[in-house]
Amino acid sequence: MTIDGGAPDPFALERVDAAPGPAPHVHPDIAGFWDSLREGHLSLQRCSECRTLRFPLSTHCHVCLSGEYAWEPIDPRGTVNVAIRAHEAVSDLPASGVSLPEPWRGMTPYLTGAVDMPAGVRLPGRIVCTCGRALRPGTPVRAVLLEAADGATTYGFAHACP
Amino acid sequence: MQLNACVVGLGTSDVIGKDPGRSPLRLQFESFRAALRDANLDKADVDGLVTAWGSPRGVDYDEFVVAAGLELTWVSQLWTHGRWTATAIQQAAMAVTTGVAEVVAVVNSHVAAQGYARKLPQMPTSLGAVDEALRDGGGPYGNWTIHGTPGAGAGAALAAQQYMDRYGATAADLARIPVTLRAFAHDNPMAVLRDRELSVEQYLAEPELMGPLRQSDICEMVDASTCLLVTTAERAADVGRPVVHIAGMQGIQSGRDNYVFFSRPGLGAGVSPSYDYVAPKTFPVLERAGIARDDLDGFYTYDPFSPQIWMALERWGFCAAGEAAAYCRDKGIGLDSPLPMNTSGGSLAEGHLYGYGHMLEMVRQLRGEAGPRQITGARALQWGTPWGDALVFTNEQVR
Ligand SMILES: [Zn+2]
Ligand SMILES: [Zn+2]
Repeated sequence: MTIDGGAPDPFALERVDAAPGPAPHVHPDIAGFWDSLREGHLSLQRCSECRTLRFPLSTHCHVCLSGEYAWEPIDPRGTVNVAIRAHEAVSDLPASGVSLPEPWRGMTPYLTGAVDMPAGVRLPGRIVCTCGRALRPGTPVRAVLLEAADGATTYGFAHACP
Repeated sequence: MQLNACVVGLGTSDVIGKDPGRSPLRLQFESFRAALRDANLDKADVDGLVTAWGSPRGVDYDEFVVAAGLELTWVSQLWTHGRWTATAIQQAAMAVTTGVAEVVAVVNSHVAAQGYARKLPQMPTSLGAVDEALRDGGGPYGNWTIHGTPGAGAGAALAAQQYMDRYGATAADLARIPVTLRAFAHDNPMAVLRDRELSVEQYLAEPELMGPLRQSDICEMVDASTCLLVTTAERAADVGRPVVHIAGMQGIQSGRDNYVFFSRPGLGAGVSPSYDYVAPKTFPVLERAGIARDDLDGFYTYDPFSPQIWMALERWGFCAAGEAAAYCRDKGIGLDSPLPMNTSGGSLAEGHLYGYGHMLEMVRQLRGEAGPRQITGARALQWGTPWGDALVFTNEQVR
């Protein structure tokens, strides 16, 4: 992908094939996040007053309470802070504190966790990795676009498995 | 202002079970009547009520007031979560201390997905509530539901994995917790797993389910109800039962550093920062009770998942950050340890009573009514969760 037909865009997200998760619930106030994903970027809000880049998404800044902000694409390269496997055995569980609703129930085993981004935020996300190395903290992963239910797009992370 | 609040009555539903086939309302009548009998009080003596767990899987305060024909001057209803246990009791203590009510029932009833809740209309989440990740912006969990971590167990598994990655704790270390709690349950006639022994070897043979969590790390969801009656010391003295004082309290610490309910601060759970946590030497809950940490005879914490015990021990400074796994392995949390914990068997083995089972157990211990689980000479017990709310209960031997 290129910007204005010029140099390659280092912040552009690749789309990765994986079983679709549930569709997000899009509140109009933060629809810019999902619009940005459709345009191929992972964007967060930067406060126009105090310049804080924030997560979770919110209508106002948690530092200065300003409601003015701009969506800013972030570098998709990150490192695993924590990752866990939702094991196959969880799909056989009756309802309990760890049982999964569909579609996750039918998707085990899969990895999920949190990734530290160079922008200074830690983002939750599914981690696409077949080799298992992404379970190790510090493993480099990249934010990617993932298909969700009803044709929606969400983000996740992918490990460059050898 | 000095607290003036005591627990004078406690009760549970006649059954605590996986599927006793009783509605939340029926279970709540059972626990409420049991607590009144225990305190030798009449329903007309009760003028306040607080509940956390409302309809449809529990009973809303107004539903119960009408059904039980109560006349109350003060009521409160919290949010359908397990985190409110201490807060509900604190509200009752504040109500009787300030005089807005004289006798407050802290009463909760709850039915689980494998129990009576099967008879209720389908609800969108396992808690029977609105999915909190659908809050504007995904809420403080950062929209984790859409990332394959849609339940409490996934949040607990992530925090446990962060702990194990950082400090090298192992599955065999974690095993000590469910194994000890199962042994306590063996001595608790009410515990749902009283007849199901567990060894470290059996634990390690269970498959992992979510991250490092196995079946025995996960609480037993049950249909049940609990009730505690709270009143002033003056009124308690008239009742003729051993008096248990609510001697200290401290609220939920809520901030971006503390909001993740399965982690102590410093592990970097959710969006909270990673740093080396150092527990303070003392806490407001202990100062208010006029005791030191070393004066405690036992410690109780909300344990829907085993690693919560590690988190709570470190949060409250019973050992340093990163030492809880070795502490549980070497010193243990049983009756023969320096600090017995969750002696009823807790949520893992007695059954998930949203923490109120622990509160009842603390009262039993301080009355000397805990049978084979009795902590010899128990005088002061603390409740404290990894996210920072706490209570200290004491008996007359401390005053
Ligand atoms: Zn700002
Ligand atoms: Zn990989």
